[in-house]
Amino acid sequence: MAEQARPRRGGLQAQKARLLALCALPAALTVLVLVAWPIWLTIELSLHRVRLFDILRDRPLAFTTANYERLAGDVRFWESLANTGIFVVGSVGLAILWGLASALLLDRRFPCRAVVRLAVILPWAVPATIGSLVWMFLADGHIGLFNHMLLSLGVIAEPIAFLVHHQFAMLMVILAQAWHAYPFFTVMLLAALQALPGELHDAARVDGATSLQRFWHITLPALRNTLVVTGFLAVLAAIRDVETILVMTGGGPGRATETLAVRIWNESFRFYDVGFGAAQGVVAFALSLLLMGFALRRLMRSFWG
Amino acid sequence: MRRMAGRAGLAMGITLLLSTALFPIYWMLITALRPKSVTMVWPPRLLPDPSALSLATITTVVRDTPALGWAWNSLVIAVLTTLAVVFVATLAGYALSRAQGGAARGLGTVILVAKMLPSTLLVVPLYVMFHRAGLLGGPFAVVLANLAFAAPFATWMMKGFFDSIPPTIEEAALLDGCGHLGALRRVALPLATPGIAAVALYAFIVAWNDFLFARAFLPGGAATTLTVGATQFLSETEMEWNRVMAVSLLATLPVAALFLWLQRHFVSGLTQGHN
Repeated sequence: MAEQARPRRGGLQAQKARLLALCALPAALTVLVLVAWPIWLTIELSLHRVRLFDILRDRPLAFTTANYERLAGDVRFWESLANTGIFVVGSVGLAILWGLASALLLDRRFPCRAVVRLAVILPWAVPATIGSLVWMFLADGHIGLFNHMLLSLGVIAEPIAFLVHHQFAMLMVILAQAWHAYPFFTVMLLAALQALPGELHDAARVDGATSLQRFWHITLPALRNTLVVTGFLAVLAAIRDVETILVMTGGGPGRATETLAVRIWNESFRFYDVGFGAAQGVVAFALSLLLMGFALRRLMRSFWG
Repeated sequence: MRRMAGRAGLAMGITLLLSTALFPIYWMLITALRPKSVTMVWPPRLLPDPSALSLATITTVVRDTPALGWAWNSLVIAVLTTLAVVFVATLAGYALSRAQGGAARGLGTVILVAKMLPSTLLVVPLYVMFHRAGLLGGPFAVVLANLAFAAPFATWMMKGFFDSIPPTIEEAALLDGCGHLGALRRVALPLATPGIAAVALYAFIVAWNDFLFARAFLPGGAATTLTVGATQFLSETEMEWNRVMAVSLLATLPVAALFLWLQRHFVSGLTQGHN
């Protein structure tokens, strides 16, 4: 009996393996054709002298390492790295604080809590591009509302054209990005807060801990894991995000808001220097991989459970 | 006394939170519903004059600009992307959830890395690939790019959902003579419906909100999507804020409606993937 059962079981196992392999096939193809191949192509393009028109006319490309040599001495490239740092730290930091504050407030008991919760995460439902357009309108130098508010509060004496001002432009794109990004933290942190047993806080209160102490020693450690994972994802999102900046300033004024991602776009689609853009793409890719290397183990654990 | 102060602080915090969250949305709405003469006036009027509000700007935009065509393009791209993502991610999520061994782990890791790659990186090489394949300028270029962007995270979400369905249920179906395909089709897939809904919503929103791929791969003018179209009323010489906000409103309404309707699924799907 056992002898007969075994081959049948083996057949079933093989059938299951075949089915699972078949199921994985579309995803494997997607990753191979639409992710791996483009990355390879980026490396290849970065090693050629190639302008957008060469591609559109299918001209043969000349091999060169000039793109990388140019990169090392290019002031714009280093500026864009610095801008990326400011934009990422500013927008993610602000979004985390905004998300944490909102999650802590929304975790409290008050009337109409469900509606308020939904309203607070509503910016999430606005397309990033559209949100950027609204912020652009608010920051307008002629009829913008920010100018009106600051003028009537007496903070400024004359209207400021925020988006064509070197320092304020960066502040504005950071605000717009953070406005769009914080609901993600609200949702994730609120979920983590609600998983926290209330008895811990009650016990600490009985022991005479102040609310600040309770936040520092109970709430924050409980949120640490969520903060690390979501913060990391938000950093990667902010590194790759171009839509906010592309819509609001296009990287300007001058190069004041030109992050690496925007720089790659401008190089390829405004100056048509695809090879040089690709070389910067390779650098951005290497940087992201480096960042991922730090966090991959942790994310792997949350992925595989 | 302290309790009162705490309540007042809570109320103030929530008011602040609500106003920062909602004010930009309110401003978009009010600008889209106002005539241009009111929008361009200084100082700006915070509160609307109810009698001056009308759908005039929106009807003008729909009649005189390609806005309806943009909306149609957005819809086609979003629906096709959703179908493609649901197909790829559901099957892959199932495979990753049920398979053991090196190959599955390898694919899972690759997908995890792909999920974190900067999409800007993909724009230029995809542009070259789509040009060579003759897809440039058509909706499929945008759909494929959106698929590459959305499928990894969607797969991650789906794996989480299948993980929460015990394999013993499928084994019971096997014992009933279902076969593995039957167990997948009749047992696992129906149980994963909430997960599939969440993934579909995610894919639809990603594709509808996309700006980068539509801007890069579509010719622009009338042949583009709502998100790109909205920016086309802004020029060096004139800022048509009423029209921009009217198109913005058209672009926001469908996703906001979907979001409000299905937010429960969406939120649970997101938190599932990270626990």
